[in-house]
Amino acid sequence: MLTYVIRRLLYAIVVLFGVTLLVFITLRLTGDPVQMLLQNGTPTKQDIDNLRHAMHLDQPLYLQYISFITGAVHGDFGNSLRYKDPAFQEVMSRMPATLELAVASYLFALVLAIPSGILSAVKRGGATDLFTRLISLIGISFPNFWLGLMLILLFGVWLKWLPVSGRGEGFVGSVRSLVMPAVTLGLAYAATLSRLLRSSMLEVLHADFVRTARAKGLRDTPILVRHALRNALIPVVTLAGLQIGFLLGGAVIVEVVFSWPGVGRLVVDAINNRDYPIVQAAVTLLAAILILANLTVDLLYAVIDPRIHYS
Amino acid sequence: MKRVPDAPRDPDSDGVIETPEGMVVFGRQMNRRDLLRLGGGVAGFAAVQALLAACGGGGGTTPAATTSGAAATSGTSGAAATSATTGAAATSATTGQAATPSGAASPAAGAPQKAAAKLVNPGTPASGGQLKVAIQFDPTSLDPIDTYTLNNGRWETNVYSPLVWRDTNLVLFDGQNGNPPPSQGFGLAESWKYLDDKTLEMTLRSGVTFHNGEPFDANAVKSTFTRMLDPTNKSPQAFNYTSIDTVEVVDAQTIKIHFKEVDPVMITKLAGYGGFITPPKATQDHTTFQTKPAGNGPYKVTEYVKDDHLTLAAWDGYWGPKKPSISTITYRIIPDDNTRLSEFMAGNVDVLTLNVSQAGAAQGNPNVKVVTIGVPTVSGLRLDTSKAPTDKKEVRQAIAHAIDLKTIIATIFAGDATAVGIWQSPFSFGFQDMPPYSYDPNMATQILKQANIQTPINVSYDVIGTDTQGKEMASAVKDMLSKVGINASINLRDQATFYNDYAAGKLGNIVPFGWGGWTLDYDNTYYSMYYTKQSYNPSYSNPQVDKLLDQERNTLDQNQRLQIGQQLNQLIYNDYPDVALYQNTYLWGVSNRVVNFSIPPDERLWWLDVGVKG
Repeated sequence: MLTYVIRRLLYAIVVLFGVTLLVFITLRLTGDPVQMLLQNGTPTKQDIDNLRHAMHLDQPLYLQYISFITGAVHGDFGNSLRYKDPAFQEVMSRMPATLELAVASYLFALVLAIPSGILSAVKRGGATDLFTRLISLIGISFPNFWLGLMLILLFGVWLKWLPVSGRGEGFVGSVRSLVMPAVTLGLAYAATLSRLLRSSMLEVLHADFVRTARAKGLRDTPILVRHALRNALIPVVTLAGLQIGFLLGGAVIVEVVFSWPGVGRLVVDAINNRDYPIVQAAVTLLAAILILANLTVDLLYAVIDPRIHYS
Repeated sequence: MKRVPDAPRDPDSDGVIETPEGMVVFGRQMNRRDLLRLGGGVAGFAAVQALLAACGGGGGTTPAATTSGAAATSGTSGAAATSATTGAAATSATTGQAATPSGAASPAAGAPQKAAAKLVNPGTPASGGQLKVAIQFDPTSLDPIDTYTLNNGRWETNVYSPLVWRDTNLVLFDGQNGNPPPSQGFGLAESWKYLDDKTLEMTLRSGVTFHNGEPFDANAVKSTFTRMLDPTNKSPQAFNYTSIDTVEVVDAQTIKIHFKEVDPVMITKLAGYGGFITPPKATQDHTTFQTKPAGNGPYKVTEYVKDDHLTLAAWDGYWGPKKPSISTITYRIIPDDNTRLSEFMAGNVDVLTLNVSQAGAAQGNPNVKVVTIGVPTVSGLRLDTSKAPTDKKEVRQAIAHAIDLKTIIATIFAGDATAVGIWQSPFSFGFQDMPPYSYDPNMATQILKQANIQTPINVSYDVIGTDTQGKEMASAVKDMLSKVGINASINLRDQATFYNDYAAGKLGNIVPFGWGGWTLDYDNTYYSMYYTKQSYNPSYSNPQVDKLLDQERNTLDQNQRLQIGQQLNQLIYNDYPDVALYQNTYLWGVSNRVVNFSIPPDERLWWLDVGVKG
């Protein structure tokens, strides 16, 4: 097990290295930030050259990359071109908001999807199943920015129950401001999860060990919870791992719609402003989180299903 | 950066109120159709915005794109062109340079139009209350030398003071030609005079302090310009003040500004927010000052949460002749157009700019007013004079006369834009009311025929792919050009690279462009756009134009400058390096809570005279 974890962590370093290289090259393919930084007034060629030199952009690409990766290993991604602050610090300052949103939407999705998925499987073909599947279909079909705006119109503008945008202050304020972004981000995930859980449960409910359990005289609830659900969770956990990326990446749009001060907005602004250090720091950090999340998911398999061993 | 909101006006609107200031405001009950329209509009617009956000394109970056749904132009993307309209006073003709050795007198003709700000909900402001303003972008730094955008100009004017005051009507307080004297304004210089063409002496107000208790004196002025012009600080403001050589401290209340070269527009530049004075001690810690600044305007910064809000509070120690009425002003940073609109409709925001598609929804709300105001930015089409076939003047002429500007303004801009003939707004010193190029397809065809130019001619037309309005215009122009034998191929470009490519001369024959003229003086626009090899002039070169621009930059005689400006107007107009099309218009949404709010054409919102109800 330990060997497996160490091996996976070594792989993770290689993947992270690849990610940094990819981001570094892609960003530079989009052009030079100097012109954007000097777009005010009428900079001369000398002004442009001076700034490019000051930012080391006149160095060969490989030297720029070595300089970047050396700094990155020490957590130094350079200073944001826009904010002038250390890029890593800037990204980290937004991370709590993004994680808060991701965790809230994750919880919302789980709370919604697990009961509905089970119920839909148990009541297969019935009105409950139809209703759940319909809601799931709608949940998957709605683009989240549209759903977000509709929620804003309904609960923010008309009913005035919830704040339209922003991250509220205090516990109650935070929770109130989190509701709509979390629902918006989590609904599609809940729908996917619910459908997956339903089909997984259907398969498991017809398995021999469930029939055996029934033959033993166990009641429905223990059969569902202790036997069927645990087995049905394997694909669900796989999806959960994959969805972490979706929740972090998909949060960009939701963050913009709800003026949520998270990493997503920061990255979009940074891309538009060619703020290389911010983009590099954010992508590297998000990639690291994703890699770790996937590793955690892989390790969780063994916890959920004792038949799975890593060696 | 172009912002051309074109509010669709409802001809049956029964709530139109004509105020004494000539402002047209709208107010009527919202009906079910309006709600549906709002929902649909919001959804559709959001779709575009979200896609832009997801793609890292358009909507998010430039004020233009956001407030107007347009985006195309700007010789400078986000920051520059917006600030292009901000910086300085309109009246370089009347800037106190009348007292100069060159004997500059205020010209009778060609002086800029005195721009009346639009007064909303006139009345006497009560003390207290909180005002909430929505802005699209995070200020990124609260130090004025770090930034250049109108987005920042909306709050900076209230936190910092410039040396020279210009009010919301763009009137410069210089005591010249009937203008009020400096002492009656909110500028930090009490008077000034030119000792010679390259030395300006200013007497400063006494007894003024900064929010942090530091005294305002000559050292503060010296420190401000030294910091700004220090290349290591990379101030985007610096380009406008490079004519300053040194600032000499004569005594605590007197400075002498020594110039490297004659700068006829400097007084107006000092009235721009690039000339905000900062405290010398606090700015030594630049990083801290970026988030905890101190100025000496009527409001002080009390809280700044990046990407969320900026809060200002009335400053008890304000030195000006009036004290602020509103207690707290919160600038909420809301990047998404539709979310800003929703906050406005929910009553959580009092003031914001709107784009065209939002105006209809806002106009239906009885609690708000939508105000249109012409701004200094002019938009049009640049023609590349170094690329075939637009290197031929006849082709450029044919393009200019093939464009039906009247139809474009009536349809694409719903009438909310003013046709112009030259790249100057009526607010600009040097403006002449020259007619737009006539729409005459027959003449265009004849010009090509007489020059023995075979049709069809192929030209390329580049436009930002996320610029909906720009694309609409491109389609319309393409259709118009086809009628005179010119085939335009439209290329959709990425916003992030558009302006770089433009500056590098890599774009096509026709490029949409907008420029406000930072100083509201023809010098800025013409020098940037027509002087050989300037950053926003990748192709045009005319030795006569260069010579005239050199001449006007070398004198403080404003009459002479005006004459040169008029020669330039004619020269450029006859040379067809581009087709200036229209003066832009902005839309503002203002809650009825807000009392006595004067909206300036340059967007530098000034809250001292404003109050809020409830």
